[in-house]
Amino acid sequence: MTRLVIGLGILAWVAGVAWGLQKIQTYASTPGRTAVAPAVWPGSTLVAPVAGRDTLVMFIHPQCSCTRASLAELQTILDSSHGAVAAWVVVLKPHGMSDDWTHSETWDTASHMANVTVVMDDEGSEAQLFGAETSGHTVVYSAAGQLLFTGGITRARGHVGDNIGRDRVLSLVQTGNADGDTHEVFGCGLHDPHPRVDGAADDAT
Amino acid sequence: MKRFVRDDQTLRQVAARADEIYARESQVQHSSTDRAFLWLLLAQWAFAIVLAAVVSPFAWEGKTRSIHLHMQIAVFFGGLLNALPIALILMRPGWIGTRITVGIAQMLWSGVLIHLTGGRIETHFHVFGSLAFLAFYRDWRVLIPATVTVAADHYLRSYFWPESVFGVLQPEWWRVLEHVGWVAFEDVVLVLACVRETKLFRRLAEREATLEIAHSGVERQVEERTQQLESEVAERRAREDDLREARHAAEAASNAKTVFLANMSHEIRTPMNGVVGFTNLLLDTPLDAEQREHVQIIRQSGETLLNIINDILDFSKVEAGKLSVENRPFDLRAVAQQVVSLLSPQAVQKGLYIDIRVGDGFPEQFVADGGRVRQVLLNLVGNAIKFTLHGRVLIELDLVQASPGGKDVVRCMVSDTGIGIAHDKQSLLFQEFSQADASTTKLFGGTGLGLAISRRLIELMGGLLDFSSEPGVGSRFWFTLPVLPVTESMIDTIVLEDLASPNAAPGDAVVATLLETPARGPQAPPSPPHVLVAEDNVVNQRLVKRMLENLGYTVDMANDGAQAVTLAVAGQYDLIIMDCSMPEMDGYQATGEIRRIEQEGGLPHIPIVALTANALREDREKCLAVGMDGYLSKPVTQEQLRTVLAEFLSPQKALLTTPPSTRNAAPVVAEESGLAT
Repeated sequence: MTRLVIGLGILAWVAGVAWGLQKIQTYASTPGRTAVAPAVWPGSTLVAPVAGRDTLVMFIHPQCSCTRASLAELQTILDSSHGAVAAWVVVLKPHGMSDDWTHSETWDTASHMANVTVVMDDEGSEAQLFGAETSGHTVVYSAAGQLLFTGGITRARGHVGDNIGRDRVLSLVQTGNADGDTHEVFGCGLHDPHPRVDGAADDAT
Repeated sequence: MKRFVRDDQTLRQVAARADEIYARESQVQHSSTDRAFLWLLLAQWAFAIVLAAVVSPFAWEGKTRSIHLHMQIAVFFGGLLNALPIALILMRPGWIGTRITVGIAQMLWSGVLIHLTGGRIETHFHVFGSLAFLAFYRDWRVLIPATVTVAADHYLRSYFWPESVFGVLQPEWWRVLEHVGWVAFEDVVLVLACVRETKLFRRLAEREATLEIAHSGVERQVEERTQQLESEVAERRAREDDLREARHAAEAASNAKTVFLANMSHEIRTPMNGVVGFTNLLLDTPLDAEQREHVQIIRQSGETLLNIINDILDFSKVEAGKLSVENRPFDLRAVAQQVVSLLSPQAVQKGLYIDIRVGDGFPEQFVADGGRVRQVLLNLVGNAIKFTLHGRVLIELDLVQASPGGKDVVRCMVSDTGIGIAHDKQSLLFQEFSQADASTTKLFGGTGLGLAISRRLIELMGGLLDFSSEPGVGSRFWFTLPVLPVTESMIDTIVLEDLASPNAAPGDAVVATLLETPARGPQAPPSPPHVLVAEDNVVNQRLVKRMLENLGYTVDMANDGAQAVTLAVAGQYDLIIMDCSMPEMDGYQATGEIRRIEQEGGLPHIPIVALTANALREDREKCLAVGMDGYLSKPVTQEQLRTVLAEFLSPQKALLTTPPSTRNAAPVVAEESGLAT
């Protein structure tokens, strides 16, 4: 009887652990929602492009822990761009939230990054303007105002490391060319929940 | 171990016990490591929850938050990871399944941590640390499933999501092998350590088993030896009890023998008193030559019988250890003269010469028991005369060692020209009841006790008695004595003691009496001494009465102690002669009663002299203790009566007594000691 109980326990445990691992894996590798970014630099925006340089804008949620990985990858890109790109970090401030809520650890991290301009995005209007739905969403526009890249620069939620999005951005800022212009975004949702319209995963935050 | 293990059976016992100890120690080790992992798993779980709460407590969508999946993973998945190993640790500690599960769970924790940190190289150390921790089990089998878990996790992740374990998008194909290789390297090290520790613990178990078995063997031996000792002690105690009982029985038998001898002596002396006494009286009457010879033979036979009785008494006292010596100054030369005088008639009768030679410097007096020395010398000279048919007997007195301020040593040697002693019989000479030749007894008489008693007496006085003899040539017997020289102060003390003593010599007693009781002497012309005799034996009554009347006394007779008390109180007696053993009231009780009446009534003290067949020294002491003034042992002669009674009568009355009748020379019967054997 005891052996049976132990055997059943082991089986249940193995199943539970496998389920859990799969859940972790699924969570980490499920991208957030995305929207279409304007192909040409929009006119009415807080972000002011620098003449003669490409402009990189990252939209982040100030309380999203996964965004630390996106900022880390941004730092990697900037370290390799040697000033070839003007970088902006736009921090979400939803309606009704205080400035302190926005000035989080993530804000501080971005503020301390060299050659990065941090601006507050009241009620997410800037994000909506550039079609950003998920924290860490990054867009790159050429000095001429043409969209070069839109998407995420991490492989999974909160994971630092090699990934296609970062490599494409790096290639753009270094060579002006890339093998693609988009990548999945992994992070918290920038906007309050609303019915899914594009088939994105429910659990993407 | 070889010193203790001596056979196959013991070897098997040691091996079996070592297995038990090893299993027990392994179980302890496994259980304790299980408990350590229990705390580690709980700590990891708690750490994961705290970390998730700090780093990523919430997930956000705009301003809407929800519990972050990391937090849920930490709480629930961490709990799930821990659930089975902790349950097994609590329910089945030490079980191999438990520790294998623990190893797998620990490796899963490593995989999750590595995944969540994006394959940070630092997080990989959790794998190595966990494997090292698993080595605490000292069971290399635990490392295998743990390693397989790590390898599988890495392989699957490298296949599906390489960045989560390698940190790069496209790792080289051998990165998995590299990671697994390092783990395998650590595994090899840990397996070797486990095997070595296992062997070490095995040896320790064997050593402990050997010690236990050796210890149990020693304990068993100690227990057996203790039981043996207890048995021996009990046996020894039983033997001691037996010996004690045997000694008590022997002492009782000895006492019974002593009492028997004393009684026999008493019973024999009483009729012998009549035989010898009336023989002496008969010799004082007109007899023809033949009648006189017959009577003298009767008297000699009686005296010989008394000597035998005295020897037996002495011997019984020697055996009972009751023989004592009284050291007083005496002159051995005078004693030798007395002995010669005493035994001269026998020597003359056999045509022998007896001489005394005194060496230069021989002390005139020294301190020893003169009575005992006289007894020994009498025995030696008597024997010399007895066993010498012609020739001479020589007594030589020499000072063999002079020690100023200490004890001198004197020697007295008696040599004869007698028959000598055969060499093969000489060793029997000092044995009791033995003579050199059985035929000797027939020829010369004697009990064979004399020399044995003499040697005991001399040894009692600290001396030695020995002899040399040549058959047909003669014998030499000698004894040496350590003696104290006499000093003037000693003489003064002894004289005063003698004056105060009831045993003082007649002359001394007279002087003492005159000095102490001047009023006792009668003013009017003295009447004959009036004596009361308490005696139950009719023969002895008649004998004593006849002797006293011969001595000039007037005599009243009492048949027992009570009558003696009545007459003593009513009459005016100058002296009472008291037999000790009488019916109804014995002499001791009667004396005590008379003394009590005298004291209460303020009456004058009547001298009481014991006349008893109880011849032991303690009998005399007992008599004096109850209030008697003198002591005479049976058989008694008329001369002894005269001498002793004169001590206690007033000088005037003493002078009235008739001098002793003329009688044939005969050895004086000593009060206690016998003569030659």
